[in-house]
Amino acid sequence: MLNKNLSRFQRRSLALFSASILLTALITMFIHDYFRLQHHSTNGPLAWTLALLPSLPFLGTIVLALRYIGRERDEYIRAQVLLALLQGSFITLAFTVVYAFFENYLKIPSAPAMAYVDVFLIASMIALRIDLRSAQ
Amino acid sequence: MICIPNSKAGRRYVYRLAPTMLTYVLFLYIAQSIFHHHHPTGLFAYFLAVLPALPLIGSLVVVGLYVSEESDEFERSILVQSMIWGLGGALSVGTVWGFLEDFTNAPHISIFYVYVFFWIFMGISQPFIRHKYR
Repeated sequence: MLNKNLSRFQRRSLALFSASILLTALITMFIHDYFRLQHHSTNGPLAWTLALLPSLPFLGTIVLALRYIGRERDEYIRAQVLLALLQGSFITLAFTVVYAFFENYLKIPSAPAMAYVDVFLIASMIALRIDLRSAQ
Repeated sequence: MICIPNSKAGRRYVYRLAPTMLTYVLFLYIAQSIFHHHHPTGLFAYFLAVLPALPLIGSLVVVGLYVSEESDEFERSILVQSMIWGLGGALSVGTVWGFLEDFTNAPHISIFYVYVFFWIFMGISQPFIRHKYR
């Protein structure tokens, strides 16, 4: 969106990608506040449905990323995006594994819901930035 | 052995992954028994806590090496797509359960299961991705 060198398809994908991330964040905040206002009294199928809602736009983000990878004509950019997504995935999994053992043995507090999604998105974005910089 | 893959990269993947998993079992046993019997504190406790995680991180490196060494573009593409679906599924389950845990008193499940679900969803998604290309 800010870069004039992006193609129309890349701009559109970036806009959709950003929108799905924003939607994930907004729904997360909404659900968080809803549960808090209900004083944690929501139970049963409604609670499950509400808890499921924030993950839907995130799954949409994954679909958008795969769709982008499938349709991107620039082989170089596609390879860089794929590499960044994989690096982001590996960093997220490494984070969860280390955190799990700390939680288990050292009794540190549990990570908040959606923390993994944040780690994945931030790690992937930083990885993409570094990959593109180092390739220049 | 029927389960050994045909490609060179596939065979290397299996031969690298097997010792990594054995190391994981060994490190887990060491950490578990020291925490159980000696209750360590300070830096040593952090070191011990992270010890079993190292081979699991190593297993991710093994997968990364396989992706970079696999010469069959199609196989590599299937693997990469399934990994992204694996992560999407695992993070979604983690998020849903996190909310249920925070707000509806659902029982606590370790964050470790994100790693387990990653492999499960990755395995489930592979035949569907293959089917798409038929």
